[in-house]
Amino acid sequence: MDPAHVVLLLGTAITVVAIAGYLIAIALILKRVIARLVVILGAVDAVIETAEPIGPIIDDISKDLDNGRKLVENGVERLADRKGAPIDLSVTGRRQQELADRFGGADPDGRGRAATAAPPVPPGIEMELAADRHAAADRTAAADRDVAADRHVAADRHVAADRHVAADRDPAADRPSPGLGGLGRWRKR
Amino acid sequence: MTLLWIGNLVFLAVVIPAVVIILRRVLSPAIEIGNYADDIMEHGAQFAPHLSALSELATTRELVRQVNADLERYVRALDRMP
Repeated sequence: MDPAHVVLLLGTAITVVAIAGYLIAIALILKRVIARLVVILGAVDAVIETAEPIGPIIDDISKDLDNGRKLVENGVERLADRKGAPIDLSVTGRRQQELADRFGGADPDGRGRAATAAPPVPPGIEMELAADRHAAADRTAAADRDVAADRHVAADRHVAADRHVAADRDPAADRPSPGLGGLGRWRKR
Repeated sequence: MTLLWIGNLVFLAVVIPAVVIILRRVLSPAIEIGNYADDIMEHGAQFAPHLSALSELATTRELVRQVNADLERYVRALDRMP
């Protein structure tokens, strides 16, 4: 065999090996990128599912708070009409009253006193209010227990998610984690 | 034979470096994409567990409703005051 042919064969072999090596490296990188993207898209899907019902819930809370505010305003207005004395509910009036009380200033017309004083308890309903307080305390304790349980569940979820992320970082476990939520559903799409 | 040697020289001196340069220009963006994907995986995909507190919004809504109901009862009781 002529040396020129040998050199040609060697050059061709080097070229083929270089091309194959680069293509294999690119394929491996793209495979890793695809695995990461699948996990990320699953997490985004889970976030979307989690955040979907937030709007109506916040609307409900806003409506309830607005209703409560109107309720208090109407109640205070009715009380003021009944007592015949104007009640200043503004922040300025309350602040003035606080300053007057603290520094011994005069409060000639009694403005703001009704707003800063403790709310009156109607006679005859103390028992009812006491029962309501007990019921509210029970509800608060139950809600606290629920919140504590939810926190435990959330902490467990954090730990599980961290484990999944750590497993995904492990090169041996090169498959996407289904624990980040919605992955199976995303794959079915 | 001389032409074959000239072809070999051109092949070794021009074609193989050109192939290597082109492949490197393909490989370096792929490596960058892989690093970005790792970064996104490390930092971006972990915000899903942090949204678990959103499930407590339902509890907040229930508590606000209860407060509203109690407030309504309190105002009605105030109305009944002599």
